[in-house]
Amino acid sequence: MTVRPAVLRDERVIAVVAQIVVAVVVVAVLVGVVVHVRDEMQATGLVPGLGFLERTAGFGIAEGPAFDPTDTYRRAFHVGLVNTLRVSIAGMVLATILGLFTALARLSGNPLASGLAGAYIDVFRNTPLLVQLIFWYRGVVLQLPQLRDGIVLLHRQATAEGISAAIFLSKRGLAVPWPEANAGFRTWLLISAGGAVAGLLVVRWRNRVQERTGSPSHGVALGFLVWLALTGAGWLVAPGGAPFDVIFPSQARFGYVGGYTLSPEFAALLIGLTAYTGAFIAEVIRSGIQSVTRGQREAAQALGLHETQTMRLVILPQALRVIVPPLTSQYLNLTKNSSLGFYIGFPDLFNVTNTIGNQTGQFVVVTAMAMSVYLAISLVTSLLMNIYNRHIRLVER
Amino acid sequence: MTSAAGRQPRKAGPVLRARRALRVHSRTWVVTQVVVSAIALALLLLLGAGLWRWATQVARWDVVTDNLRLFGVGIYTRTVLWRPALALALVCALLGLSAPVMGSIVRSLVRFMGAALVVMLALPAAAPLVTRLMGEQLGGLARAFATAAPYFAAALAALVAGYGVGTWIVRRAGDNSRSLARPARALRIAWVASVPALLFLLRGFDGMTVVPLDKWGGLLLTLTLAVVAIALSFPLGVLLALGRRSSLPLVKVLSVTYIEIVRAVPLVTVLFMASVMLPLVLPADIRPSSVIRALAGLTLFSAAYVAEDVRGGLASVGRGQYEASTALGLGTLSTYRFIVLPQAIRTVIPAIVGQFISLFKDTSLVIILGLRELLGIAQAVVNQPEFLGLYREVLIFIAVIYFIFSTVMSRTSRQIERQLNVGDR
Repeated sequence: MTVRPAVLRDERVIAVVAQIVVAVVVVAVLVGVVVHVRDEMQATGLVPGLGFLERTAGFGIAEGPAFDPTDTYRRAFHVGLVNTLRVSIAGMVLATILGLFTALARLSGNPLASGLAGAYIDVFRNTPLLVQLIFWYRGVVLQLPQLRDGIVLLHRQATAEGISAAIFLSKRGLAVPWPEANAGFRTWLLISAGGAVAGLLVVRWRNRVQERTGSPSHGVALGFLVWLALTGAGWLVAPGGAPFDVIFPSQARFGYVGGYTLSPEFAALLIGLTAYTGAFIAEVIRSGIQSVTRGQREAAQALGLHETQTMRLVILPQALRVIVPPLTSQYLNLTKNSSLGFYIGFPDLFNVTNTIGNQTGQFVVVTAMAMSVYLAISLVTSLLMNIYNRHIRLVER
Repeated sequence: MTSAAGRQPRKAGPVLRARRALRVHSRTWVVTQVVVSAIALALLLLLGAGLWRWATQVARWDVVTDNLRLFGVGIYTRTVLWRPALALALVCALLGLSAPVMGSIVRSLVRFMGAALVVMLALPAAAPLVTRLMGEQLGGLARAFATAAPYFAAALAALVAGYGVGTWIVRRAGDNSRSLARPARALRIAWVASVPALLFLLRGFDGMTVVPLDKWGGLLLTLTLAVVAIALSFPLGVLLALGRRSSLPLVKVLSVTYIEIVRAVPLVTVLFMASVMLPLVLPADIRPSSVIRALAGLTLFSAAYVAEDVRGGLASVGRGQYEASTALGLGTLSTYRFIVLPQAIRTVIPAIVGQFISLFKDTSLVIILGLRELLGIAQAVVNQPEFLGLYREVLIFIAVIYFIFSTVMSRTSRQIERQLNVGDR
C-alpha cells in the first residue's frame, strides 16, 4: 500500500497552489497599475492608445535623417532610432579597432607598450561612462576654437559660401569630404556587389583547387582582382558619368556647408563610447588569445608554419570561439550605453522619446516603445549569436 | 624584413628554446621592439608632460578646494556632520575587528583603508611641499583636507582599535579554530545589520535633527545608493535565479521574461520607468523621494544581472549534491538553503563583485533624476558663478574618486578569485 502524503504536503498540490498565488499577485499588481494609470490619464485628459504618434511634433531634430518640426511624432521616433543605430554601428567598428590594437600592445611583451595599454584599460574601465562622456563633450569638444578661428586642413579655394577645404574642425563640429551620389550610383553599386560575389566564388574555387592539388592558388589575391575589375568596369559603364562626386565642405557664416559634418554631440558620444568600449574589448580579445594554450603555438611552429600563418590558421580560429560571445555582449552594451548621449544633447532614441513623453504626457507608452526597440535589437543579436555558435561548433568536429 | 624568419622554417623544440633562453632574437624582433618602444615612449611623454603642465599650472583646483564638503556629503546638515564621521568610524572599527578574524582579504582592505586615512591626514602637513612641486592650486587643495582631519583621525583610531580587539579575540581563541566560529558569525551578522543601522544613524532618529534623504549628496550618496542597491538586489537576484530553474512553468516564464527584458534595455529607461511607476504601485498618500525612486530603479536593474551571475553558479553545482541531500532526507528548501546555494554563491562571488563595481559606476546615471551624488555635485559646482564651466577640473577629481573605489574593489575581487581558485585555467 502506498503512503499518500497529507494534502498540504503533497508536492503536486503545493505546485498548483504556489502558481495560483504567484499568478494572483502578478495580476493584482498589473491591474492596480493599469487602473491607476487610466485614472491618472482621465484626470489629466490624456487619450489612451497610440493615436498621439500621428500628431505634429513641433520640435526640431538637428541630427540624422531630415526632420522638420511639422513632422509627426512617429517620424521623430524613427529619426531617433536611426541616430541610435548610426552612433552604435560607428562605435562598434571604431571600438573594435581600438580594442584590437590595445590588446596587441598589451600582449606585445614590450613593457612600455604593454604598460601604456594597461593604464588606458584601467582608467577607462574603472570610471563611469557618463563622467567620461561629459568630459569629452564639455572638456574637449566644446573647448575647440570658435567657427571662424577653427582648424582648417588642406585649404583648397574660396567659393561663393566661403572657403572650401578638406577638413574643418571647430566647436561646430568636424567637417570632412563626402561622396554625393549621381544618377548612375545605383547601377555602379549593383555591379560592384556582383563583383564581390564573383570574387568570393573565385576564392572558394581556388581554395578547393589548393586543397586538391596542394599547390598555392592565390585565392584571395585573385578574388580581390576580380572584384576590383568589375567595380572599375561598373564605373565606366554606369550612365551619367561618374557614379558619385566627392563634395568638399566649405565654411559659411553659421556653419559648414557640403561634405559631411560631424556634430559636436555626435563626435563626443562617438569618442566616449569608442574609448570606453575599446578598453573592455581589449580585455576580451586579450583573454581570448591567451586562452589558446601554448602547445598550439608550439605545435604550429613545429609543423613549419611561420608567425603570421600560426596566428591566422591556428591561434585566431580558436581564440575567436572564446572572443565572439563576450564581444557581442560588449556590442550590445555599447548600443544600450548610447542612450547616455541623452545627457549631452544627442538626439538618440531615448532622448527623442523623452521629449515626446514630456510634450504629450504619454511617458510610459513612449518609454515602453523605446524599451521594446532595445529588446528587439538584443533578441535579434542573440539569435545571430546562436546561429554563429552552432556554426563554429560544426567546424570543430 | 619577415623574410629572415619566414624563408627558413623555424627550428622547433630544443633549438627554439635555446634561442629563447639565450635571448637571441631575429632582426625583425629587434626592429619591431624599437619602433613600438619609440611610439609608446613618445605617447607617454606627450600625454604625461601635457597633463602635468595642465594640472600644475593651468587647472583651477580651487573649484574643488572651496567645495570639498559638497563633494563629500552634499548639502547634508552642517550641524550634525559628526554623524557621517561617526558612520565612517564605525565602518572602520568593524573592518579592523574583522581583519584578524576573517582573513587575508579583509586584512588587505584594512591596510588600504589605513594607508588612505594616513595620506589624507598627512596632506595638510605636506601642503608646502605640494605647493613647491605642483603649484599653488594643488597646494591649496592639499591644505583644504585639514578641515576634515579630526574625522579622519577618529576613523584611523577606530580602525586601529578594532584591529587590536580583533587580534586579542584571535589570540584568546588560540589554536582552537572552533572557538573562532562564534565571533566570525557575530561579525557577519554585524556587517549585515550595519547597513540599516548606519542608514538610521545618518538620517537621524526621532527627536534628533532628521536629515531627509534629499539632503544627502556627494560621495555619501553615491556610496549609499551603491551599497543599498546591491544589498537589496542580491536576495532579489537569487530569488530570480531560483525562479528561472523552477519546475513551476508560470514562475519560470515570469523570471525569464523579467531577467531578459531588464538585461536588454538601458539603465536610463529602467530608472525612468521605475521613477514614474513607483508612485503608481504605492498607496496614493506615499510620495517616495527621488532617492527612493532611484534606489528602486537601480535595485530592479541590478537584480537581473545578479540573477544571471547566480544562475552560472547554480549550474556549476553537480547533480550528485542534490541527490545526496535528498538521500539525507532534506526537503527542497533545506537542500537549497544548506547545500546548493552556499556552493553556488561561493563560485560567483567574483562575478557579483564585478556587478557591484558596475553598479557603483552606474550610480552616476541617477543625475537624470536630479539627484546630487558625485556627478550631480560636479554639475552643480560648475554652475556656481565664480567657477563657471570648469568641467575638466571637477570631472577629473570625481573620476579619481570613482577610480580609487573601483580599483580597490576589482583588486579584492581578483584576490577572492585566487582564493577560490576558479580563475585559473
